[in-house]
Parts: sequence; structure tokens; C-alpha cells
Amino acid sequence: MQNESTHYEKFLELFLQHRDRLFSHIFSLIPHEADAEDVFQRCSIVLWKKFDEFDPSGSFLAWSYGVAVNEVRNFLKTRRRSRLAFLPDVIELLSEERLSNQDDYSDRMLALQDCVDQLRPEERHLVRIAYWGEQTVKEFAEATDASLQVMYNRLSKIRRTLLACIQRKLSETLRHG
Amino acid sequence: MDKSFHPEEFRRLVESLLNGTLTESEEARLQETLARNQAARQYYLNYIDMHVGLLLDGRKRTGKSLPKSVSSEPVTQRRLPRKRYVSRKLLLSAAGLIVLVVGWNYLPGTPFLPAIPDGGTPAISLAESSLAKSMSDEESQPVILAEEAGAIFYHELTPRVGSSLKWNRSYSLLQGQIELQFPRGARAIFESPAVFEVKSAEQVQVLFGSCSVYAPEGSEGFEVLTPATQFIDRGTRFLVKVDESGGSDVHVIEGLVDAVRSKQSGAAQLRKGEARRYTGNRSDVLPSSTIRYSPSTYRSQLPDRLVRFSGRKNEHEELERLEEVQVRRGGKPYRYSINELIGGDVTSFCELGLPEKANLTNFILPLDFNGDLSDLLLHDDSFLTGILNPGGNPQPHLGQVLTPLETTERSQWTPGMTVTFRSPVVNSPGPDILIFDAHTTVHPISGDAFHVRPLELKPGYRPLTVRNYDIGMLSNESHRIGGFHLLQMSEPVACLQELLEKPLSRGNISLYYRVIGTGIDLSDMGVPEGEAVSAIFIQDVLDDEHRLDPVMFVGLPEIPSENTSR
Repeated sequence: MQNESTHYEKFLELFLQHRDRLFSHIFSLIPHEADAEDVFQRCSIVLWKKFDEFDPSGSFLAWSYGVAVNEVRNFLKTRRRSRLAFLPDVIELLSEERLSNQDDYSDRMLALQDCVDQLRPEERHLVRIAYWGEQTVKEFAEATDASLQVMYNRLSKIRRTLLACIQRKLSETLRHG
Repeated sequence: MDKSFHPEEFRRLVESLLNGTLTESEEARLQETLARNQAARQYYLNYIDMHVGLLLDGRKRTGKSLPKSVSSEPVTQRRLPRKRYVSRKLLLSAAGLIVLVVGWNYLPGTPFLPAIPDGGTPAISLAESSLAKSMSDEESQPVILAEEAGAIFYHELTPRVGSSLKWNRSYSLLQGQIELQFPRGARAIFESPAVFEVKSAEQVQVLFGSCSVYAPEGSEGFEVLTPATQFIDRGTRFLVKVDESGGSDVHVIEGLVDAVRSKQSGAAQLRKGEARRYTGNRSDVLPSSTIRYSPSTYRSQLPDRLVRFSGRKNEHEELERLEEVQVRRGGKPYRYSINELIGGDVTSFCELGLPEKANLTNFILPLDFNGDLSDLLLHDDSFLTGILNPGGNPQPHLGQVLTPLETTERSQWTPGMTVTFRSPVVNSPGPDILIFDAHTTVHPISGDAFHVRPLELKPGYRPLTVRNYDIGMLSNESHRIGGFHLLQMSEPVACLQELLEKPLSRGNISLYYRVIGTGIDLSDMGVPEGEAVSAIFIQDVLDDEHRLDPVMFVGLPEIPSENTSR
């Protein structure tokens, strides 16, 4: 009982530590929220079932990325193609890129926090609309008599600003050690 | 860097992907760039990480993915008794356990807190640790405008239903009613005229006017601050009215309320059925007195009305056709599709005004209209068809409505418009008929006033004068229309026949038009509940140079009697 419990706790600890990154990885391979969530749930079950096979001296993140890629492939085989589906080569290359560049994720998320803070109030409001789900972007566009495309353009500009801000902050961190 | 990688072009592709607007050719370019270029892959992954970071943060904060108890404290602090959460049975059910683990993160309201091993590595996710803290209380605990009925604010547009109100900022409600939803469940209804400020997630200050509070279980402690007295909810419904001197009346409808004048004086507890008046001066020796308990002024909900309408829009996001209406009837919300509504056709039209005062623009029709003018009299789902500017009278007509069918004597015809419904409209609670009107900014902001009555005035029936529309020009629920033209008569017409036969010319459209609308309760015209009306007669009030421009009349279905018992 104690062993099973410890095993479970160890899994939970690792899973909770990496779940956001894992979800982000799956989303990057299946860039659709509901589909990515579906695969994330399947992947979580497989990770637990196969946790015995995980080598504790290795990286849980790398192992879970590998499981996730398999689940993505399985999902794409069975799904009717109505949305974008990356080609197998692209999935492979993105996964490789992910594994070779996974050190600064936490820094980037911390930088994102600062960058959101620096947005103008109306920009932060639009971030809320787009990401908090209180209203759809379409509803917000209607409410403000703006076209949907105008809203997408504003949102696009905000994301570009945020990305540039994150890059700038990471560079500053590197420069200042 | 690979020459085929153009960051700005690639970024636009990623944006289209996230917006769901990626075309097939764009998809091919996106895949090709990702396959060929390492810098593009890195850029793409960073972009997605940022997008998902914002997405997960939004989910956690809106409570859509986490039980409240999970999101309110860091994971590291949740060291729960292990035996309570990690049973042998649970451990043996791998799938079951994982569903719970996944549910903890992604399913709404799952009452499960995962146990973290003692001494385990802190597992603080992005949303719990970083972005959540970067937002102020005002942003993370928004006070929402839950509903509004004809609300007009001083010096600003009415906030959109569902949007949050700013804290520590005075709002002056000049007209109508609004309902605020506070984060822990308390609701406050303000009735105009009222001046108030949201002070925090659990406090509202009433500077003037009437505020009805409902604080359900879980929101006890909600506070209504007035200039001289603080009212603290202890699980209840109560009404606070503040006058210009800062004095306040409180009526406790249910439960208990603490009234606090100062820290030194402590709280006086008021019970259900009690009503007291507090002076506006904190230093008064006798700060309060008993007044007559008046529960009827308490508002538990906003009035019955047309709440919202929506439909198909053109490429310029202008509304063209009605698809759905939302109404409040007998205190309950109802949603009807166009197919459930009873269409109304224009069956008489009379304009007997002086030629120099008559508005000769009598038709609205779509740019691509190729039917007969008489088609515009008939009900359809289009907001771009209709007969405008009917005649009227300052006083509503009380006698029989006379048209060319009843008499050939022109001077005896009754100015106005008859609308006949395709099946009788039965009087149910709340609005029974909806009228939609094409309106511009130079027209009265509340809507063009009109008289309306059942065509046949039975004993007890009476005309109703409508001056304020449920959805007026300033409402966020009015819709812009476009893609139509107006036809102008060359000379005033007296009746429907002349309207269809006399020469026309195209009118000039230089203003933006919006559709506004209002509900009409047959009870307000003396029609007993359950009785049906087949036709109504409408007259402009002639209170200004602007006439009614109706573009649609619909009747609402009868509410079955078992749904009306409350």
C-alpha cells in the first residue's frame, strides 16, 4: 500500500509540475483547443498507465513529450480532417525543436506576466475578452460596432507586442546574468 | 537563416491559425515553412506557449477549470490528510484516478483536491503563481453588469451586459434599472435615478437612490455603504434608499442586516419586517427612527421586457434578418426563434397630416429588392422591409378606426396603421407583441413615441402610449442596419391604396440607421390574461417632426398556463 501510494504521489508530483508545458506541447501539434484538450486527457491516462516504464533518472518532460507525440498521431489517424492537421514530418520536427529548446519555458512565462502588466488598459481588456471567455471576440466586436477583422487585428498586435516584450526581457536577463 | 522565412508573413499565418481563419493555401505555406525552417519552428513554439499561457491563466481565473478551493491558494499549501484522498481502491483504478487528476485541472467544479506528498516538490503552475498575481483585485474579481433595462448613464454609454464595472468610480444612472453581480454571489439592483460606486468585490456605496440587495448563502457579509451608515448583510434580502442629504432608509425583506454608524457605536441588528431611517449626519444624537415597512419597493428582478434580439448580418456586420428574440415574461427568461413568432402584416395606413408636415418617406426596402411594393406590407424576417411614417394624433383615437373600407369620406379616415397578426396573439404574462423600429441618431433616443390599442376596443380595453423602448438608441442591444434604400412619395398620401399607386422617388440616406425595439404587454391595454387579440392599431404621437418607422411586428407565442403559475 505504501509503495503504491508513493508511486502515485511521485507521478502526481511530476505530472503537476509539467502539465502546463505538456498541454502547450500538445496544443502546438494540434492547434485547436478542444482537440488538444482531448489528446491531453488521453495522454494523461497513458502516462499513468506507463509510469512503471519511466526511468526515474531520465527527464519526465522528455518522456511525456514522447508519449504525447504518439497520442497526437493516434488522434490524427482517427479524426475526420476538418481542421488543420500537421504533416507527420512537421510533427516530428516540432517535437525535436521542443526537446532541444526547453530550458527557458519558466522564464518566458514569468516574462509574459510582466509583459501583460505593461499592456495598456484597453489592451488588457481585450486579452480578458479573448482568453477569459466572458464574451467571445465576435460578441465584443458587435458590442463595440467594430468588425471582427478589426478585433483580430488588435489581438494580433497585442500578441506581437507580448512576444517582442518577452524576447526583450529574456535578452536583458541574459545580458545582466 | 533560411531565406524562405519571413517572420512577419509567418506571424500572420500563425495568427490566422489561432483565429480559426486559416485558408487551405495558408495552411500549405505554414506547413512548408515549419518543415523547412528551424527559426520558424522556434518562433511558432514560442508563440504557442504564449497563447496557451494566456489561455490557461484565463481558465483558472474564470473558475471554468478549477474548483474555487483549488484556485484560491498555492498548491504547495494544500497538504491534505493523505488517507482521505488516496484510498487503496482509488489507487487500483488507474483510469479513475487519472480522470480525477485531469479533472482537477480541466473539468469544471470537480470536488477533488489532489494530495501533494509531504516534502514534495512544489507544483505551482503558471496560472496559479504568476499571471493571477499580476492582475489587481478589480480585474481578478470583477463586478459584472448582469442585466440592464433601459439603462442610461450620465455622461457615458451603458456598459455592455456581462462587462465589469470599474471600482471607486461614480456611476450615475439617469434612467432604467441595472443589476450587478458580485463575485461571491450577491446581487444588487439599482433603480434610476441612482448614484453609486463599486468599492470592492463585496462592497457597494450608494450615494443616492434605491438599491435592492439579494445576498445568497456564501455572500454573507456583503456591505452597502451610505454616506453615514454601513449596512452589512447577514444572509438576506434588503432595500436601501439614500436621499440627497445622505440619510438612508433600510427595509429588511428577509434575514438579518447589521447597521453600523461607527466603530464605537457597534452594530444594530435589524430583522425581517423591520424598517428604519438613518440620518445623514453621523454626529446626530438620535441617529435612527422606525419607519413604515414597505416591502413593495424591493426589486427582486428587472422588469418584463424585450431583452435582446439577434439575427443574420451582412458582410459589414449590419443586421439584416431576425433569427431570435430573448424576452422576460412573468419574471422568467424566454428565447424564441423566428419560426415560433406570429407575423404581423400592415393592413391599413392613413396619413392625414398637413402636406408641409407630412414625412413622405414611406418605404424601406433592400437594395436588391425585386418584388412588388405591396410585398412590403407583409410580414417577413427582414429588418429592411417596411412601411414608414404612419399618421397619428397627440391623443389616442378611442372610437372605431375608419379606413376607406368603412367610408369614402377622406376626412373621416383615422390616421395611423393597422397591423393584423397571422394568428391571434394571446395575452400571457409580460410582453406579447414586439415592435421593431428603424431609427437614427437624430431621432429621440428613447424611440419614436406611439399610441397602440387593440383594433377592436372591447369594454375595458384602452390605448397605451409608449414613449420609452425596451431597447432604445443608446442600448448596446440595438443593431446597426444597412444595405437598404428609402422610397419617397412625390406627394402626401392618405391611404394604403394611394401609397401603392402614387409616384415614388428614391430618398437620400445620409445617416446611420439602427433597429430598436420594445415589447408591448396586452394587459397594459386592458386585455384580460388568456384573451386573444387579432389586430392592433398604431398612431404616432405627433410630439415632434419624427414619425414611427416600424420595420417589423411580431406576436409572441402563448405561455402554457402551467408555466405561468409562480
